[in-house]
Amino acid sequence: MIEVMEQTELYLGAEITRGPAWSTERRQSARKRFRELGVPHGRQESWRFTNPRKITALEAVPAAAEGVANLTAERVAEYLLPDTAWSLVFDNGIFRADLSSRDGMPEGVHIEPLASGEPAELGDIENSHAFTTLNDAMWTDGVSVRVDDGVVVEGLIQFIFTGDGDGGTPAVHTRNLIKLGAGAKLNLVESYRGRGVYWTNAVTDVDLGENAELTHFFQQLESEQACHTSRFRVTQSPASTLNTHNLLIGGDLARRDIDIALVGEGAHAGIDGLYVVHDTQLSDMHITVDHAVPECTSEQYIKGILDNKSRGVFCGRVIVAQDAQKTDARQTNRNLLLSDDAHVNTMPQLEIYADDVKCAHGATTGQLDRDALFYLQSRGVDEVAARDLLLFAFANELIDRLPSEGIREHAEAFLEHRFHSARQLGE
Amino acid sequence: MTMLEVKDLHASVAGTKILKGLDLTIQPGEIHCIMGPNGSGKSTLSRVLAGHEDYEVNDGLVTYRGMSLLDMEAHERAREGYFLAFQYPVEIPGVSGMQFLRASVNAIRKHHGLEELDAMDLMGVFREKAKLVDLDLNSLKRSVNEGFSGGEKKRNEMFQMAVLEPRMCVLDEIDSGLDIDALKIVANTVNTMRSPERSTLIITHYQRLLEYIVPDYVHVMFDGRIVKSGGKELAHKLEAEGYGWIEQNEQMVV
Repeated sequence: MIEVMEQTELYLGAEITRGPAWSTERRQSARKRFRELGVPHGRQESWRFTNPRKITALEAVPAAAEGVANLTAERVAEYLLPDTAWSLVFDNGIFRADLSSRDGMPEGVHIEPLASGEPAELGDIENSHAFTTLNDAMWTDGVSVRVDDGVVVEGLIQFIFTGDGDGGTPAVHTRNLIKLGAGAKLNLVESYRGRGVYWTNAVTDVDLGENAELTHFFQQLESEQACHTSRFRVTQSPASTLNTHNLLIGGDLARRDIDIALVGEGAHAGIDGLYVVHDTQLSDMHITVDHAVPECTSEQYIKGILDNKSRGVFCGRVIVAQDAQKTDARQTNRNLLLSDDAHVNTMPQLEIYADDVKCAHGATTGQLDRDALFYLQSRGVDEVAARDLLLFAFANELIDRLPSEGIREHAEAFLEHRFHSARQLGE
Repeated sequence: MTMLEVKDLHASVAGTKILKGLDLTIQPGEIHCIMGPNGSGKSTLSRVLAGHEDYEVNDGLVTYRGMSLLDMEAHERAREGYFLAFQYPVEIPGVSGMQFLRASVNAIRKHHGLEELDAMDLMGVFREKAKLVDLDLNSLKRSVNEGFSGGEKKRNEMFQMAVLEPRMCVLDEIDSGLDIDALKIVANTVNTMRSPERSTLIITHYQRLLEYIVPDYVHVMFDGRIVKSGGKELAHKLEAEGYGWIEQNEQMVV
């Protein structure tokens, strides 16, 4: 185990100059701030139930700027969703133009790798969330998307980020920037895949203009030896709509932070999440929805299926500012524990400073319904198949809400495979 | 071959003895009815015979078509044609009636070495059976029993029975809470399915279902045992005089 100080320097690496020149100054402030914040540890409130030791124990080093060229077209084909129209592929944080497909992108959509594109406005560096600050300092690449006012993009755009632990344990810091103009519409998939031991630390910032609509599918299917931390920050203008669907399956430790700022009246944020974990996996979702202005709506619908000794953490925070009257905020977290050793910590937090609001939250943790199991068995379905059917039923509510048929089929197939291989291990 | 033979069955739940030496023999083609006051162990009998894990069999033998029923898992019993219509059909949110029946039909077919049926083939079967119980096929798209009324749930049970065509049908308090029309649907299903190869056991508190189904034998259950057996006239006597005389008789015996 290396010292905390050394760990901080390990994460920052030796090189001061990394990435495009326009980002240098910002990186330097971020390095300074990261040194002050230090590497997170389990005694910090925000990491109370998710000890980051699994991340630090990896002793991951910044992914080499030149990258490794292990990713093949065959693997990319496996990662592509059936209805993807355009894709941008990154291997250990390095853009792979040869594996990407950007042809025929509609007019008014500006999409490019962040590191080699136009200088981008990344905002202030993160002040308190150390891994985001580290990302500010160390990002290698990612996608910058700008959609002009009124442009509706019908096809699906998929970002694929792969981690590869072949030849070292890389820390892959990915940075994405998505900006939708007024009335623009976009369907986006963020896929995180990989093999072996590595650490993904991604930040995606979204800015939705007035009446803009983003449908977002986040697929965290990392290697089960890897660690994953990601941050999704969204700022919503009046009457804009965000629907983000999060499927969280991989990673030995995976933490996803979602921060939504509803700063324009009449905006809506829908946040779906499904985490499915087994063995000693830990999946953490921290969601904050900030209702800063009146008449916005938000719905968090998060479900978890936990087997073996796995752990789940859900922290859902809703803040309703004093002026944010007529807010309608809902939050649900349901967990299904398949083993006596599985464990979940669920923490709904409502901070309401306005008086004319509708806020509802509910959290449940239970086991498979034994009566339903017996009912199925009494109709000839064996116990394993009956359990599978009930698991699918639990997950299906969220699968059904996925934005397209192709995405639904892919998610179903993945879950089927996952439950099936989990069974084989158990036998 | 005898359809079902229960010999000296003792069973308990959570340490409490419920069945205390129950005997019952049902031949193919027969319809039997077990009646008894609340708490006599009627529903326990139906659950033990269906293989519910919460019930512990302490003693006795149950032979179903030459097989030792108690040695079979619940799903194996079902695959061999044993069917229980539940007193309280279970709601399964997220599983449609269609998925449920498909899983059931194909599990049973596979067990008998038959090819699995696809959605199209199944719809053909369902369409035919739906007429028998006056079921709206669209309701199969909904989650199993979720949001259905008590009567509709019992109708769903009858539909499942009609589709699965079991050898041994056990109806546990199927008549409780049913109006006359729903009662007639249950009776019509049982009567239509009556055949020399199939047996039916109706478990009930009331006699009124027997106005529409004529049983071959009526048994009275009390304190975990069959204490009296007879023909359909026994049901009329119970209807007219209640269970009091049985209880008195039993207490005198004790």
